[in-house]
Amino acid sequence: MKILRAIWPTLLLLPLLYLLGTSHGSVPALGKLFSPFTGFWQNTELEELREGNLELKGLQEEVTIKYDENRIPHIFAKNDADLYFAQGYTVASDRLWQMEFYTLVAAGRLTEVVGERALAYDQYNRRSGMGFTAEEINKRMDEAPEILSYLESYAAGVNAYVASLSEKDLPIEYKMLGYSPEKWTPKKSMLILMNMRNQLNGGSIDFKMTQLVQKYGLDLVNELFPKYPKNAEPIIPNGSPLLFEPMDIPEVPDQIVAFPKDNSVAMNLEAPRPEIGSNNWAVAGAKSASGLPILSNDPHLGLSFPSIWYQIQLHSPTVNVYGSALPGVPGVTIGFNKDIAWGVTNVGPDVMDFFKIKFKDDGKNEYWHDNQWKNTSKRAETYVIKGGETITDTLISTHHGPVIYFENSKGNFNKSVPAGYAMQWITHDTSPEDLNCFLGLNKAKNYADYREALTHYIAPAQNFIFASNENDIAITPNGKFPLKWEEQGKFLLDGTRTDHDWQGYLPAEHNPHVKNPERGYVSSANQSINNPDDYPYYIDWHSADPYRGTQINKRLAIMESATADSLRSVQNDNYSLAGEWFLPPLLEALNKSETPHSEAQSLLKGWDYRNKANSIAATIFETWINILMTNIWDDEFPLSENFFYPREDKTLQFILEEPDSKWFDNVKTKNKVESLEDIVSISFNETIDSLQKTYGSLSESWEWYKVKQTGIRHLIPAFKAFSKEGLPNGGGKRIVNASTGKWGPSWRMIVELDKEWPRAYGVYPGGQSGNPGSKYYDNMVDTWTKGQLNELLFLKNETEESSSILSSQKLTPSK
Amino acid sequence: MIYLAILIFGAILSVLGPWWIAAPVAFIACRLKARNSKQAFWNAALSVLTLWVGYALYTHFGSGVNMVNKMAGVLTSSTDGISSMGNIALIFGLTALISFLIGGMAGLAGYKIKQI
Repeated sequence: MKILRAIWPTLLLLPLLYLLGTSHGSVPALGKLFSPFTGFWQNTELEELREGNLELKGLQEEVTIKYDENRIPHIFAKNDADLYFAQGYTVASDRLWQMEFYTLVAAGRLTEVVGERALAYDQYNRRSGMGFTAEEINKRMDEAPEILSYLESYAAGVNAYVASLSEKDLPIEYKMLGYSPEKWTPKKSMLILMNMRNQLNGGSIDFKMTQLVQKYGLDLVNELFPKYPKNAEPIIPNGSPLLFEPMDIPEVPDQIVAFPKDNSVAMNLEAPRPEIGSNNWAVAGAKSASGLPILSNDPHLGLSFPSIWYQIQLHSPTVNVYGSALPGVPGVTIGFNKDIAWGVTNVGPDVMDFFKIKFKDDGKNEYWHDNQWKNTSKRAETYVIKGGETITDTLISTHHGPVIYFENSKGNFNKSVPAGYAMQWITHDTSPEDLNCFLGLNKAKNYADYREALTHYIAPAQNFIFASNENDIAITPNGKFPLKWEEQGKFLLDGTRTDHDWQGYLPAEHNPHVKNPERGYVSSANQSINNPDDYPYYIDWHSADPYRGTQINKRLAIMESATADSLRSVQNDNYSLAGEWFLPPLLEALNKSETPHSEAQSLLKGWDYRNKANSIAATIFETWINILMTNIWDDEFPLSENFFYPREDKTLQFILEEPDSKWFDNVKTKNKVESLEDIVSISFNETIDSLQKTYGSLSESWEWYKVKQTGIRHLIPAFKAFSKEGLPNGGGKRIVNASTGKWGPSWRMIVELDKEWPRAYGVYPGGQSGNPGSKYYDNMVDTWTKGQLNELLFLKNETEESSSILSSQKLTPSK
Repeated sequence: MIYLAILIFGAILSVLGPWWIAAPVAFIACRLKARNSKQAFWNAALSVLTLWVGYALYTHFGSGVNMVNKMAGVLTSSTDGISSMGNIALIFGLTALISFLIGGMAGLAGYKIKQI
């Protein structure tokens, strides 16, 4: 009894410390987190300048890093190994958690840090083979010894940073979620690239298209969903000459679709992501004030904190390059050097196909192909759930690729993947050479170097735009493209037939390309690549709506004596071609109907077609056209049943040329045949009703930016306080300035080429630091929101002085 | 005396040690010097509280970024927490509560263990 009286507080203390020191479900370890000596208080940055001398194991010689006013590092190394070591070290010191998070996503390991709720997502990511491919690339890395050495130096740099950390120094996300960083490896850099392949070349509408054919037949589907839109302005200008002798194109087989067995189990599907798009263009010297080209690029991606990009200058005896890098990958992805500049937009080629598999029996050990039974391969995947529990899963693959789902189930993460079909996807390509494209561009001096660098590239296919101070401009939709018969893979394919297999690959020199076109500019905005009359191969049938591409070309065509500022005004162009095209016929139809004249109508009549931040007309139009599209198409092609609408430009064609088309009738109303006027007026009334319901009566609260709600959100959605929402900018998904709710220009760059030294401007919506407790976490957001750019400091060498450099740090090899 | 001892040794060891290091400091200090339960509990509790809240105040006012608002937002699943005063109350309150509890319990435990 006496003993108990003596030790009861100790018996209480120990479990108390244990409880406060461990995380429980989604509740973090509160003691650890709130201790000002180890917890989040330590992430409040008191000293933001990076100075002094760091001794690091693994360096060969001294490295100098100068930090400018946005804390962008300018790294000066005496050899390439040290250069990439220092890049790894620097990026990790700002973005460690983010880098590792991406690798966990691509490898399907999120359950380890967030628990079982990520299982379906992890299963999809593992079954679709990103982690497996990263592993296979890693195994082949000795075929590309130079890349391997850079990746190893980079990893050593990241690990030197990780080794210097104690609990208090960890990025706040580790503290909140309760785990610690692992060692970085070259394979993890590959996982980051897999993540990009998935984000940019990872979607498919084959399943939806197949359902359409099942319901409406091939002819109607081809008419409503044409390969080449009527008013397309392709990336490669019409009439561009073919620069190679084409290979034989495989013949289209008698059967081109393999229907799913049971259509009734198709489920609610997410709409595809039209927001993934980007703009780039370059004007020739003949159109610029300086007489040399100017290049512009703004890749549109999901806007996130920490930012997708990391600005950096890399200088060694072999390279001096500036631009945006992907955290976790050596080199610069979009940027410029003394002589050239380059940028990318997404191609979105048809590089993910599904093959219906006929298994011999339920054992799924053999499948039928080429008139014989062939063996499947099986692989076990083990998922570790936070807390220690494990789940195993057997993955079955055919020569096409992995079978993702065997049955349709609500739990399937990606619902546009049909059950019982094998996936063939360019992401599974294991060539270790991919990075040579970007590393080659980093060092490129001219057009020939650019062309050479591009031959190494696999995926995700991008429109690589180029400009040089030798007065060349060019664009190349580039990546490894499968050789296919016309529109092969627009629908689900038959896995038993050899003529449905991918038939080989295009040589890189056969990729579409144009250099110094007569019109004096090159551009892309994810539209159709070529006029089919100009190019022999099938790359994709589906492309972005023509608004951005056409508007950019309109601006560039009349541009003279261009400067960086003229290009910046195109990046921020808010003009709505959709408004210009749709609104007059819609208002006319509305006039014919009995809809009472309203304030909203007069606002639309007076609209300057600009999606400015405070435009109310823009809000009404954008809402109206979305509702109109739904009202025209959803009766026949319900999105909720995994269908897909025809494009807006096709819809416009019906409005202008076939106003009596049957598609305007709502088939759900039994005794009535709706006309175009009816649908237009119903949609208009619904638009006003829905806006009134959400935002009250017509007032300032209808302003476009308040409705559009552009925000930059933390990668962990629950951390809303680490996000920035409601940014007051214009734009939209049909607009060159493509800021939508969650998507937008993730990096804007403009480079004026010069014989002596280029002048460049850029900004991304975020900041260099991934730490919410740093002022460099979001310090560039306002500049971005206003559509302004920062002048980019590109130093000639280590000794060049600049008033923008705020601090300097030395990394020295430790003895 | 006990208060000051815990504050000084707690501060030095907290910079180096794990988050709970102030607890054993309070335990030992009270094991050696405390004269009764009340004295042990209150001195230790207030000392660790001073240490934690003091250091938290130093980081809060030393930085250009308001981490208190951000953390309050995260804890309340909102963009900016309750209100600026509410956030300060919540975040400093939790810091104070946790440090008070572990300090007080450790001090009491240290004193009581003498009775074996």
